[in-house]
Amino acid sequence: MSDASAPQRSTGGALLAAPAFAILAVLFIVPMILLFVVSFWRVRNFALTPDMSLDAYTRVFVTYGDVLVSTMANGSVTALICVGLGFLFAYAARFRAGRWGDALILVAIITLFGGYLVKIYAWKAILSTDGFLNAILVATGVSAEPLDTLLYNRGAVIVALVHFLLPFAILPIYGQLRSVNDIQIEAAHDLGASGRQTLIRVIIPQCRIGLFAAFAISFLYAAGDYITPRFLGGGSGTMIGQFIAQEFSTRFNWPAGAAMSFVLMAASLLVLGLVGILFVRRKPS
Amino acid sequence: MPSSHVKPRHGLHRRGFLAAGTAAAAALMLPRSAMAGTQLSWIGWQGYDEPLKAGDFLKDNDIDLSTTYIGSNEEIITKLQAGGAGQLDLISIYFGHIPILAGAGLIEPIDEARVPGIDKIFPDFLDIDTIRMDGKLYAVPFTWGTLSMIYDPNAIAKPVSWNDCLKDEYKGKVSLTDDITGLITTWAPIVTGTKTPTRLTAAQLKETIDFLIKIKREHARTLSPNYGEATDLYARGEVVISAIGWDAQVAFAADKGKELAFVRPQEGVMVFMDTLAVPSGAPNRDAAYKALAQAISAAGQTVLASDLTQAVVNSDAVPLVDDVNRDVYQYGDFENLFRSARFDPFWPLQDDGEYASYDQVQEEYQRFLRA
Repeated sequence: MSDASAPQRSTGGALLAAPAFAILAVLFIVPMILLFVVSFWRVRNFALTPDMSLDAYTRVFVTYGDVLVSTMANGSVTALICVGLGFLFAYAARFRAGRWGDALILVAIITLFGGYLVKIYAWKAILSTDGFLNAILVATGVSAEPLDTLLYNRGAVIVALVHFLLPFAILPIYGQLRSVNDIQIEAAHDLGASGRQTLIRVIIPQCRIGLFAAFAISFLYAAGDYITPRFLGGGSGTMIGQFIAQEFSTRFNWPAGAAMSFVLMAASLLVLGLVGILFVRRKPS
Repeated sequence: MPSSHVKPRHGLHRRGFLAAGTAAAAALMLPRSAMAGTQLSWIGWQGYDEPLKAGDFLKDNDIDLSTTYIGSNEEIITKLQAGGAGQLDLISIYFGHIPILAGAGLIEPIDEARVPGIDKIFPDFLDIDTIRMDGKLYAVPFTWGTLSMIYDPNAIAKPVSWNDCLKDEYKGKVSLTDDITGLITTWAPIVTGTKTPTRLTAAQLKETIDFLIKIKREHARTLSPNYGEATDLYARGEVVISAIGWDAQVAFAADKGKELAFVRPQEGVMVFMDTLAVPSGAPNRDAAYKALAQAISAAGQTVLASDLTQAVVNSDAVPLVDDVNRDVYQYGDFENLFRSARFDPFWPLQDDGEYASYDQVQEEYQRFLRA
């Protein structure tokens, strides 16, 4: 093909991409810009007033600084657990389950069926004082009476989030493990590497992107969630998403809600940036 | 869906799919008026639209009902402020927000002559100042209730005071629900001695919130996101008494096979009322008035009582509701009710230097939620 066809190809590609870009612009970029502008406005008499005020941002740090930090912590812990369990599951499906590997992944995907609220209520049924877990603890003599500390705390929120997000973590990791060449693993063994050495020096370096993707998906979802902490967190498991929702709805304070959203976004990007450096800094040798 | 209605896999080929998709898209693009009669845009709590859906009201009046459900009353204010006025026809909202909406010109006065049956509404609800301003009625009462103390009669003796929930034997077994106005108006008189709990100085507000934080940390099982969740705690035996409750929980629990009881403690309880109002510039005002009349009619109110266990405002509906509903709401004895229950005015909308404004109340309440 001649060089003259290159600009034509480029124009054609741009035209093909235009609808997708238009949808992205209309549904995502434009609303984000509008929301960013509103974050500098004020609310007077329950009406938005254009302004260039930083009050909403100041308020985020003064009023919600502690909640923001605990949200980042909850999101990070949830994501790390998802990555750890997700890797174990995906590793078993790829290297240990043989022809049942794909079936295991299918099982993981099937757990997504049934919806999100169903899982929240399932965990309420499991962790409540008359729940399944307490029944086992009492029946086995581990506890003399039902424990009321299993539910309505940070731990319950993280457990429910991990349950919901684990399939989303498994899929990118499994995708990367599928691309690991068996010949390289056999070569490592032939050269005397132990199973542990093969895992650390051959397999994990080749699925860093998948691990990071799993962390990012789990973290971003967990950090922005406001339903799970509301139903399972009680008074001690609050997260900033709950307050963002309230600023937009109950308090009709859109500037505050918008500012909190952008600060949450910035904090999340910071966490992902740090984690990204750890996960993908070094290219596999 | 019956299995006989499931198409075979090969039944929908690509061309058929495209044709079906085109037809569906065309149907979606049709003007609503081409699909049905007058469209009525209604916004409010889920379930409050049931009186409109019951019977043949919509069909008889050729109305296509479009509903938007809310998670909080304030969403309606936000929606109207954000351009909803001129698009919405009928709203259902807490009576305390009516002065905000009327003050901002977001709702219009009710033309009482266009609401048949309005004379059947109990005067105790129709004639309160919050919905009548300058001689004009801005909202029509729709339902009401009291935020009473709920307790498990099979677990504890009948309480007499809100302070009973703070007894040591109930630690960790107290129900506490996320209800900003309910919690503060219930506890401010007890904590500060005020007679009007929606008129609090900054110091009184702080004192009340500090006390609520203490209840949350030291006495409550958890902070329930709504009264339905709180009722579940009673059903599971996790709580036996409440620091805030809603009389309808007794009926909610009965549906789950759990016996609960309510009491209006000696310090008094708050009365709430939800209303119906017509937004300014409602595009289908005639349909809105028809719907309003249907919602407060005896038939509509009976649906509200049977489907949602809500209290009725129409005196003609009282003989039609079931015994459980009549027992809970005691329609025949409003004089006795209002001895222990009160309508509080809404919070000041602006900071007047003396009393905390609604915004300041919400800011302090966030401290309670974060604690």
